[in-house]
Amino acid sequence: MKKNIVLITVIVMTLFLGGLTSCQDFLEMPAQTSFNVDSVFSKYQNAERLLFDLYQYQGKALATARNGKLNNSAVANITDEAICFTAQNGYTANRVYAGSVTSTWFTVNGGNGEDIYDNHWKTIRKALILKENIDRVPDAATDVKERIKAECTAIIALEYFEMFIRYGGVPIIRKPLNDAADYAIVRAPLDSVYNHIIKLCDQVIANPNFPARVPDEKEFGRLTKAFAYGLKAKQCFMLPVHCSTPTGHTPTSEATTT
Amino acid sequence: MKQIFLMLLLILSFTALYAQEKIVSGKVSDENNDPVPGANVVVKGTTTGTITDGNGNFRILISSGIKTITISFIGYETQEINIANKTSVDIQLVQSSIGLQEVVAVGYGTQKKATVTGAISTVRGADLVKSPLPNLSSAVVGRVPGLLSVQRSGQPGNDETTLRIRGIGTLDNGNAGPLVLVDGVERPFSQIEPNDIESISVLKDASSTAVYGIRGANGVIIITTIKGKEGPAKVSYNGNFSLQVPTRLPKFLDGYDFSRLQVEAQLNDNPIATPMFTAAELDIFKDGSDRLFYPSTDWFDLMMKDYAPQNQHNVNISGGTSVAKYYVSLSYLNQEGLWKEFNKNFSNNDHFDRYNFRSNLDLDISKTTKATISVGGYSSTRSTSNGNIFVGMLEGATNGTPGVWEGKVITLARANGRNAVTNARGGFNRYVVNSMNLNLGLNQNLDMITKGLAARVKASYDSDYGQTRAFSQSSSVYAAERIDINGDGVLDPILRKSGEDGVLNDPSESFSRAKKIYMEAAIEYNRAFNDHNVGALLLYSQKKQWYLNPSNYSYIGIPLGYQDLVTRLTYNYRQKYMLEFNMGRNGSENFPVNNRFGWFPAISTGWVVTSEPFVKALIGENILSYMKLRASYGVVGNDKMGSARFMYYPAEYLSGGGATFGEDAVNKTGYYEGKMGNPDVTWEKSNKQNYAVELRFFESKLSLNGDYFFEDRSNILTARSTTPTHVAAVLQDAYNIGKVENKGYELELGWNDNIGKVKYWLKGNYSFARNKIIFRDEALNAAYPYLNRTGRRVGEIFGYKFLGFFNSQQEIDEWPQQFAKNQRPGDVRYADINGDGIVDENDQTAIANPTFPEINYGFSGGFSWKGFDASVLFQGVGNFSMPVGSEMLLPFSAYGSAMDYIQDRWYAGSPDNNVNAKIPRLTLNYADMSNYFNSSLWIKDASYLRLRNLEFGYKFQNTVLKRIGVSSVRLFLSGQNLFTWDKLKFLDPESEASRSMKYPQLKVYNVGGSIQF
Repeated sequence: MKKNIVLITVIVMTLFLGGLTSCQDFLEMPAQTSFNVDSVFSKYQNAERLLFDLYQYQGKALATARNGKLNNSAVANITDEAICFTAQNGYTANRVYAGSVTSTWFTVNGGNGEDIYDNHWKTIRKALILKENIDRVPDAATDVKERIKAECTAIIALEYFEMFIRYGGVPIIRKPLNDAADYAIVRAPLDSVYNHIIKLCDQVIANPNFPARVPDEKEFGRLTKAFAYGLKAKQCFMLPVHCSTPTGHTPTSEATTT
Repeated sequence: MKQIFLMLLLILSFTALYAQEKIVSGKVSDENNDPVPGANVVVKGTTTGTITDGNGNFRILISSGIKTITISFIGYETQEINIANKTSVDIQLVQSSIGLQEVVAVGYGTQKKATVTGAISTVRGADLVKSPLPNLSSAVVGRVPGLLSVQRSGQPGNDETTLRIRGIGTLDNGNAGPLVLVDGVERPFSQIEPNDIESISVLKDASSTAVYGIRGANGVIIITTIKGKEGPAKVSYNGNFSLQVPTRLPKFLDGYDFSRLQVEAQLNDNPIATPMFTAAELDIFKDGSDRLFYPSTDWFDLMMKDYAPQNQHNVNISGGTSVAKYYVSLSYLNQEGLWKEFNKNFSNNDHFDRYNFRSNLDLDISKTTKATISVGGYSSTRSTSNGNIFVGMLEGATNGTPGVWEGKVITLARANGRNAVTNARGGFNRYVVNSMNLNLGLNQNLDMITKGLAARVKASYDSDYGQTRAFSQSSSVYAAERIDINGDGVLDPILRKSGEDGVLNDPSESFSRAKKIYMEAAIEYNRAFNDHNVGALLLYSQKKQWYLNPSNYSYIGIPLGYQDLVTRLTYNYRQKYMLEFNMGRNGSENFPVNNRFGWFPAISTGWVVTSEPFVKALIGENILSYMKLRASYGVVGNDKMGSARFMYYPAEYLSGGGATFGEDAVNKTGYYEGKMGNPDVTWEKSNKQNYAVELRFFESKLSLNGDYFFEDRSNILTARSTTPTHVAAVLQDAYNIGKVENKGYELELGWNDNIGKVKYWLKGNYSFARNKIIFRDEALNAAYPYLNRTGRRVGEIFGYKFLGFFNSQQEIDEWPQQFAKNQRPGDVRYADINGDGIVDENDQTAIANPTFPEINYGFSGGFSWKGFDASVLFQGVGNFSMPVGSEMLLPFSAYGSAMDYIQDRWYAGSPDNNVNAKIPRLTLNYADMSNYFNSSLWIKDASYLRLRNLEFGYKFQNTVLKRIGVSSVRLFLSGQNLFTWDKLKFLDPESEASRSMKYPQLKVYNVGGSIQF
């Protein structure tokens, strides 16, 4: 009997100690090759996919190939109609024309509303991150990287334009925000947003690596210099007459660098 | 003279001899032959007495002429012992019916009820067996104070009851579920056979749950299964045969009323429209002369049977010798569903079959070593149709199709081709679940080192396997039309077939697995030093779980881990003053290394007031036989937020999103940023206080327990909602910012007595728990503070205040404009809460109770006389709402159904001027939903009272049976959910009045028997 007890006590002690010694790593998340920002920018192939994702929310604004067809009426888009009666004659149009739309439904309601406010900021963040990190990619030529940077800038200009026409003055962000300290950015006055958009357009127009039109038909849908000219023209139509600055202003159209 | 004096002296001396005192000694022990220290030994009729020592021994000085002493102790029947000619007596005490000396399962151990200082309620296995419902989570409802519940579905194999201990103390009801342990290991308990259960303990306050630290904040439910006892093998068989009936089914309009009101709605929208049905057609609906084109289909009548059978069988054997004790049990359950069959080659009805097994073995390997081996588990098969028939019923107008006509499934153009029967003809799903769990334990008594010391280890292995097979097939429908076939000017009915009755496709299969390993090592110390009883426990445990369920956890490839270190110190002086200290140190994988482990201490104390001599002198023991005061305070924690894990881990990129490019459109998938990690994330902390009093009156016939609790939970893991979008562009993750307060009370009253040979008992319990959101990161509305969710209860429903209907244009003109629209008579009138002259979205406020009850009460009673026994259980809830939605809210919407209650609608020309109108003017056009917004009109009070369980039984026990080896037979009749009293009336109060409606709650009529061999 004494043997039994010794044996058992030994087992108990060993289990106990064994459990305690593995205390440190028991709950630690196992080291794994997780796919994070470094992995994305380690190959051009991966970074390119970030570029594709920039266009995820553009279906309406650009009236480009979407599911292989021009799903939204290009004519309606050019006229800045909120709802195209012919292209969307169902649920959404019914609510607009019946007058039963509230402001939150219009901009938040998962895709049925006219615009989703959050998506603009998501796209801007993606573009800023891509622009910041594309230089890290080892296996792409410099002109390809410059083109991508220009494309990101153009997308940011487009997003700001879409917000400008719907919401007026919005905060101007120049780098991706990660810190709590960044929360205190206020809405910029209307003419600042206007100027920002013009400046971004000028930037990409001056960029020699940004093609005037897509060089390959497979890339149809990506932004080009022609787009930047068009956006700048459209924006200039909306020169704010009654600005927040009391002294009034004149728009700048000289090419400027950042 | 001298002689007389001498004589007197002699006589005196003799009497002096006789008047000598004697010493009586003895030992007091309990039913298990364990000594009872601290028992009172009193000379009857006097106040002289003594107390037994640590070994139960006593010595008392008895003067001559005294013949009896009384022995008494809390929780035992007082005994009177005749000591006329004895100097030594041994007394064995018997537990009194209140069970204060009963053993209660607590965290990682057991305690006697008399020394418990935490808030713990127990249910015995014998009470759980009374419920004939197959899911164990419903058997505890109404029996435990502090346990609140809702059961949304009665579907065979899928009828879990949601349980919450003391309500909801956190921001999200989904994260408020209690921790459930079976035989000391975390496992789900709803599929366990009730006959295998010894007791269920519900731990409610911080002191009892502190040992579970990080996961104890929502309370703990401990299930203990039956262990064998020494004695000859006892075999029992228990069987139940039941009929299940729905408690209440929603009632829809019949064909005539539906069509008539549909025309009324149509004309309300456009008075000059051509009515969809002429008066002649309405007559055809009424007289039923053409049920093919003018149907009146009651879907539940058409598709549901009136009753369905169920049977359960259980055989168990238990017994043992002094070195080995066993309990082995095998059970089978078969539960059929209520659907009628609509298919030739498969069954679209619900079926549920389950086999349970359990084997608990306790071995004494040596005089001081004990081993336990427990194996348990179940294997179940469930099948159900793969379409949602309830949605089909809600979508199906009464006049939209006859359903089935001459064996064919019919559709009519009027209902856009809908027929709920097609939802039962698309195929079926079969789910197989096999679950096995194994516990191994070793307990070594180390008295040879120090008296009272023991060490134990436990290891357990749980393995689950699940297989889902989905079978589908195509089915045919026939569109009924009238065309002139033979050119004679008469329209004949024809049936145009579309689709084919196919064969079952090869099933799509999916598998799931689960595996858990749990290990525990502990050192325990229990010793009595004279009147002081001391106990200590030091325990380490760890657990890992593999193959996680993706709907419950993220990162399913990484196993889930927990580590706990637990301490408990208990002290009591003569079971009169009690002090207990519990502490857990726990780690969770969800937090980074610097925040991973937390301390969760709790302290509790108790005082048995009636053991004080001054109290005994003040109040007779006959009136107040027991009074105990308890208080506890502690900190427990929570680390779960939905399915999130490793909340500190920084962002990952995931594949998805992307867009289409190229003149020949090619879809290109992109990469996008997943969640952002929070490097400071840490555990939620809940400070809980509990104050209680336990009273027993009139020789413990009347018992009264009351608990008051207050909980303050902070650092609740939740997402931010006030971060501006331009910063929060990426998915929100977990922050420790929420704060919720929860408080309430529980009352328990009991009476047991006997009138002659009839023993009877009554029990009642009442629980109330109310929470309040202190902080939840919402953008606070400064202009209209009544719109804020902060400061309200969790899940409180917001909406408009309903004030009645507009009866005339004049009333509309006098009222503020609503929603910038013109109202019409029959529309809903809402209150202008902020008094700004218009009714808009700022006029909403908290209007109804949440969809989880705040009040739960139960009342039970029973009696036994000779072989008869009867018991009843009533259970009810209060402060419970049910919102109405989808087709139950919007009759006729999109070719959908209409419920019977809409007959109480507002309509022009109502004879009593719409005084009794309950719903607004009918319409077919729901583009303008202003009559159907969330308001006090549409959020219904779903409080109810149910006759939950009723049982009558008779036990046969006689020599005839004994000769054939049967020691007793008990036959019984029982019923579950027999009556429901509520205000809702149109639906069962625990159901859901929208497309979320599930399989109805069940009323069960049951006959059963149990035979003991």
